[in-house]
Amino acid sequence: MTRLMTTVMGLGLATGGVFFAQDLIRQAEGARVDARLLHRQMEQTEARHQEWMERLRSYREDLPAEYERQYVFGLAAADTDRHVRLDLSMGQLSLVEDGYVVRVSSVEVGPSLEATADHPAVSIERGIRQIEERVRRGRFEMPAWADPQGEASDKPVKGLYGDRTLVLDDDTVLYSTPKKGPWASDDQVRPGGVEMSFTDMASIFGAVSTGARVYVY
Amino acid sequence: MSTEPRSSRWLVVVLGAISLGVWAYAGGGYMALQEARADLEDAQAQWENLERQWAAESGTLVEEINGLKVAIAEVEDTIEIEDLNPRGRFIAVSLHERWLELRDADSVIWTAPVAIGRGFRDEERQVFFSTPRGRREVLSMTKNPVWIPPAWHYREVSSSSGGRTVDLKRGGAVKLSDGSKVVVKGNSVGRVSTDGKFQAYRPGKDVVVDGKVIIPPFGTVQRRKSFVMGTRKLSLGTGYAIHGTNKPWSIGRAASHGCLRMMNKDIEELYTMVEVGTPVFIY
Repeated sequence: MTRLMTTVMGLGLATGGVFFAQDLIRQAEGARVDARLLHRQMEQTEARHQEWMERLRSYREDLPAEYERQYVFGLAAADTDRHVRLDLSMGQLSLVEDGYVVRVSSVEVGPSLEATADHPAVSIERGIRQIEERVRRGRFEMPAWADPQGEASDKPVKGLYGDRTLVLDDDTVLYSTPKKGPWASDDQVRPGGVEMSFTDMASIFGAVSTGARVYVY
Repeated sequence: MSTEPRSSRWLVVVLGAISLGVWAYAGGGYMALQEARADLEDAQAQWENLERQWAAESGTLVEEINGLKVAIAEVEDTIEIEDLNPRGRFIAVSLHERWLELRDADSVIWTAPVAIGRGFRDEERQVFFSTPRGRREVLSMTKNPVWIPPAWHYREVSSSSGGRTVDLKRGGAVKLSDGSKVVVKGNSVGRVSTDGKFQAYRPGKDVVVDGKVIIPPFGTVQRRKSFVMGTRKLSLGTGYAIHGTNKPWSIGRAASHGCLRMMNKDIEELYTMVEVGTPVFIY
């Protein structure tokens, strides 16, 4: 009788222990799964956060340009004299007078160049410019970026730009590609230059005089 | 008798061993649970830290962005709405392309070729015949316009015919070699023969007699030419106009004295689409 009771108690105790232990293990596994899930969520959220931060940074970087753009556009909008507007982001050059957009031309804007030992930085900045020179079949000095070693002649060369060229007061050049010569290839827009078709250039050239304002935005 | 106590002890030993094993197993489970809970708490704490860090990072950036957006909005506020809206209907003429466009705000709604000023100089009067660039507007609109030739027209006739111009005044006379004379009678220029008979010259025709190119006075029918300006005319002021032509082959060329010529069918169409006051930009 005692032996039977001892056996029953012992086995009951052992069985209870087994159930208890299994419950603990289940709980531990649950906690481990939760922790793994949390880590995974954390990684995903981190990635989303980084992506969001990247977008914010990029947006933040664009805002000063947008500010400048709006500022210059505001000035252009209030100008009733005949003037030229150069929209860098749209690649459009417009002839505007008294709020009427008389002509719109597609243009290509040359790339910016960082300053190096051979040449200064070249870029087209937003702002208000003026037409400093209207040049017909003119000669131009070879730009430093095109001739870093200064091997070309010091004399201005012909045919660097097309027949008609408008030079702005910050040395930005509005031009059409020359029809012949080594610079006739229009594969690459000149740094610091704005390239347009021959017809557009000729039309704009005739329409504006020296001193006319050019709004770059 | 001697086996019973031994087997009981054995049973106790076995059951004790099982219990120990079971409880050791339970202890391991407990330890694992503690460890897992610690991991979970650690992960939660890490998450909270990161959230704080992210909020600080993006908060600073968002603050900067908002500041810039306010600045941009302030700039935008300074731009008048009417400055932003493209203006209404207008005519734009490209002298280089010899092309006229009727535009509505920023869209081209109609186009046609034009003839433009030849760009030559009348040395005698120092007049430069070209189409002037700039802004004008349609000042008046005329159907079947009549051209009143300016004096330069008669100088051109005289230079091509080899004669000389004679300015005929009302009440005056131009004597001819046969004794007759050219006079003005009423609204007509005509010839009075030696027997006193007056015969008017054909209206609108140039009067060239005896090597003389007569300039008829204003108001006479000989100083009024139909068809030269085609079927419609849009006056732009100071003698310039957009009009039709009786020389359709000249369209697309630098052929006029400064006016903009169009095919009659084109000017008739344009006539229906513009009104007095429509701006004209020549560039």
